[in-house]
Amino acid sequence: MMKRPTKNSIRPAGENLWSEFLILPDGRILAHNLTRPGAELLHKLSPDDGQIALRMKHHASTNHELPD
Amino acid sequence: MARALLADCRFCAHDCGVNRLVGERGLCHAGAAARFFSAQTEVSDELELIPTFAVALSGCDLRCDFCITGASSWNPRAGAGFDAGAMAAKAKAALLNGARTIMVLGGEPTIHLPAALEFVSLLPETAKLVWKTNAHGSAQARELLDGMFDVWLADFKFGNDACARRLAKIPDYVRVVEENLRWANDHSELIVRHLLMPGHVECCWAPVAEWLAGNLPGVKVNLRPGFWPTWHAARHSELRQPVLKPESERAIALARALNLNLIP
Repeated sequence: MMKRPTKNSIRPAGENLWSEFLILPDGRILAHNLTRPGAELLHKLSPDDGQIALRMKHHASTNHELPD
Repeated sequence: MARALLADCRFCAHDCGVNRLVGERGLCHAGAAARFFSAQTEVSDELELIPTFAVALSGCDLRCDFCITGASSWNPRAGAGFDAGAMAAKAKAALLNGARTIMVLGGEPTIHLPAALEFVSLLPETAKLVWKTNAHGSAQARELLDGMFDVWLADFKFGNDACARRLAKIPDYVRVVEENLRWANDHSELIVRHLLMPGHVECCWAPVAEWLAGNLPGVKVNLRPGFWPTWHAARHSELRQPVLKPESERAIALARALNLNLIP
């Protein structure tokens, strides 16, 4: 009999990006470990969602500044 | 120096005193070598911290039944071996690709303090470093952490010891967390997180909010309503559901009444 995969065993070992989503009966979507691609997906699903738009904006506009 | 302290481990408030260097295990079950179960750039944390390159170390000293990463957080052998040098190289690449901060979390990173400190010692001085913690560390851990991180992102999960004991099997929770939060507020920038739990607005959020208002006025607070009923949450009837809108509205109203500095 094949062993049922656990949540832990199906996660990548750290080299791949992963996000988790929980879709609630009322239509809300909870996100955990949200990556940029995950945020893009949510943004496409719900372009008017302000929270996701903010996270997209912050990501797109942020650069690491090196010292002078 | 921090690694030598594994011979008499007292990094967290459990104060086990076991010798992890020879294979003894305390309540967190962690050995001498750290492992990690996630390392990637994320955008789900506080807006002022994202994008953050978040490194999640396996294992924890708490046993929260609702832990969203329970399989990896309860098991210090989960994930892959942690190589500080290799991880620092990834973190530097993430910074060059636009990450604003580097976040060390778990599980609970305090139990892997030597590895965490080695990791951050290899990062550029300009990197903004975030210590994401359950705030259950010891005075010894705080001393080692002093000056190492720019931001402490600390949980205040339970507003009373009875809920802490029932849901996370942790004694003397409130005193320990308050001690850590006071210290963190004095020694770094502090952001306090509270995960709103269904059925725990009055017993947990209300006392946490009142304490923050009275003792750390102005401190940044992130009230998180996205409770995810996972792991062993179903052991507790009230935790078998997400937080419903009336509860989150009540929690936010309470925060506003206390003039808390809520941040997204």
